[in-house]
Amino acid sequence: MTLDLTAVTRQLRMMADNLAVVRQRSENLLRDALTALEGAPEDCGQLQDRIGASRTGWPIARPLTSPKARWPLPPIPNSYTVVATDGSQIDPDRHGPALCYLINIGTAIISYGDRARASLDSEPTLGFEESDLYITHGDRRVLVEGHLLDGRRDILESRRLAEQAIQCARDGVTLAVRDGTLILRSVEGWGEEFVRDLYREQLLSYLEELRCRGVPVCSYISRPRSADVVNLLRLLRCPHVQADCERLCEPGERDSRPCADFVGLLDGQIYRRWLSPGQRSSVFLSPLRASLDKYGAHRVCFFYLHVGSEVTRVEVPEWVALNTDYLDLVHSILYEQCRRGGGYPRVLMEAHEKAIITGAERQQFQTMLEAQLVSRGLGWSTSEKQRSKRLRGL
Amino acid sequence: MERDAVTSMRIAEIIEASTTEFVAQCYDLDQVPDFGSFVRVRDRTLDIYAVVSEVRTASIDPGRRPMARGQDVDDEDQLYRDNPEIRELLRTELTATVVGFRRGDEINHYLPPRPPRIHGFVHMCTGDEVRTFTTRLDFLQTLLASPARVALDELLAAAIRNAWQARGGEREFLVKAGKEVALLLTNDVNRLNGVLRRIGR
Repeated sequence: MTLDLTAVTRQLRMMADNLAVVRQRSENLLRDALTALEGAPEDCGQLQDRIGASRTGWPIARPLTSPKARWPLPPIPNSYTVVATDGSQIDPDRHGPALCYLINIGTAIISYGDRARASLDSEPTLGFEESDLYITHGDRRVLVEGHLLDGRRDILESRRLAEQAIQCARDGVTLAVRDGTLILRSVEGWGEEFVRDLYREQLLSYLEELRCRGVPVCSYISRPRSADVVNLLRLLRCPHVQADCERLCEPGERDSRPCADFVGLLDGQIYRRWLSPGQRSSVFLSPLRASLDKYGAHRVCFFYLHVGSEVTRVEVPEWVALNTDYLDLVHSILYEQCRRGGGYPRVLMEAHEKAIITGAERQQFQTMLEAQLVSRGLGWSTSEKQRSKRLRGL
Repeated sequence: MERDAVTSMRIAEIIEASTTEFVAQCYDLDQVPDFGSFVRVRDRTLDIYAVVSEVRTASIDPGRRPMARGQDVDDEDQLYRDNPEIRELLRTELTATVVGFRRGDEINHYLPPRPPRIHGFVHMCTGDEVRTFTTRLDFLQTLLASPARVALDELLAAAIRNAWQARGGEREFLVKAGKEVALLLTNDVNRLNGVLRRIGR
């Protein structure tokens, strides 16, 4: 055994002590933050101007209505379909016998009301050709692995979601749901620009298909860690008419400024107190640079939804955010899905169950891969590193 | 289930097979054959006959057990309508004990030369088929010697009751079957009485 559990226990105890102090501090901050939200202006135009004029180092949510707004649970349609996709993958193994990856996309389609039925399935895709394994741009050639493979999986999830949701929408009201954030978190903000452009173009094309067919889409984030609205409250605390951290605040002073009080708080903590079960918050435009600059009609907006057991962040493209009917549909269906799923959307749970690749299946995949190579008389070998891990000789 | 349809109903597909019994996955959670009813599988030149010896419904994924969901719902059908995905997550399987086979016009009350194929289609026997197959009762001995996991006496009695029903409740058949069971269990009066009580009307 290499892990020194005694040392870990000591550190875990320190962590728990620290957490207790942080919780208490955060409780006091939370009270102040709620007071700040209470005092926020009703006029969001004025707020947007102030946000637009500010220069802060932290991203600020832009409210489309007053940040104080609380929207009650809208009525849910009698009959509707909810579609979700999720994915998992087996990464290419540089030390393995053949360079390839496997992406498994799970789809759950559940119809309620007059035509109650469900369809759960999964679709595996093996990537082994040159065009699957590498993204090329001029002389650049990048192996699709790690976050690039995550991105490719995101794209496949979105494609399948759009295909299925558009098909279901022919029979009636349909909502498409994704897990996690709507943006391509796997590639946005880092990595090669040509890869980001390529992936983004594909994602936006699927969102555009959904928009053209009038099928609302959303993504669901359980226990969100974002602080975009907290940052808005920080801006409201700024004593300067036009915030400009670099110019107006000395680096040494920043921690003692009023805006620093709310650092460490999360949007979810505030809305957990602000909203009642079933209510949703105002809709905000995500301050993420890539979304604002590159997503066009699909700029990412979000709201918080109190589903009963927690407050979750729901992201929608701007064209959904600006359509009250769509927004009400997202709100009512997601709330109902959480009720049916014991706190988490049932449809996402089922899509995940269909997508997951278990440890045993991963091993089985390796065995099948090796068997195929042997049956074709193809010699194969693993790397010396892989071999040393298997042998672990004394 | 309806036994007297002119054409037999396809209800399941074999997922495990041996000489003496097979396991089949039912196509529909609600179309489940009765315990002790007669089913047939076509295997190339043979029609293999079997008696349903066990039916069970469980989660497809052994790691995911069904959870109670209906506390606020008035009736069970409503619960299924409200949660349409449940049907996709459950699987009903039947085990059938092989009791004979038909090759051309010849019906044999002993085990077939080979088990049915995996993915073989399982049909409910029509009333006619049950009547033809149960003209003789040698299959009761095959049934009694089978390795079925359920209580064999229960299975024997249920098969006789099903055959008797397919024969329109003929008293003669019941008497004949009773005699056959008496011969088979001649050394065990307690078991014999148990079976006779289960088929007695």
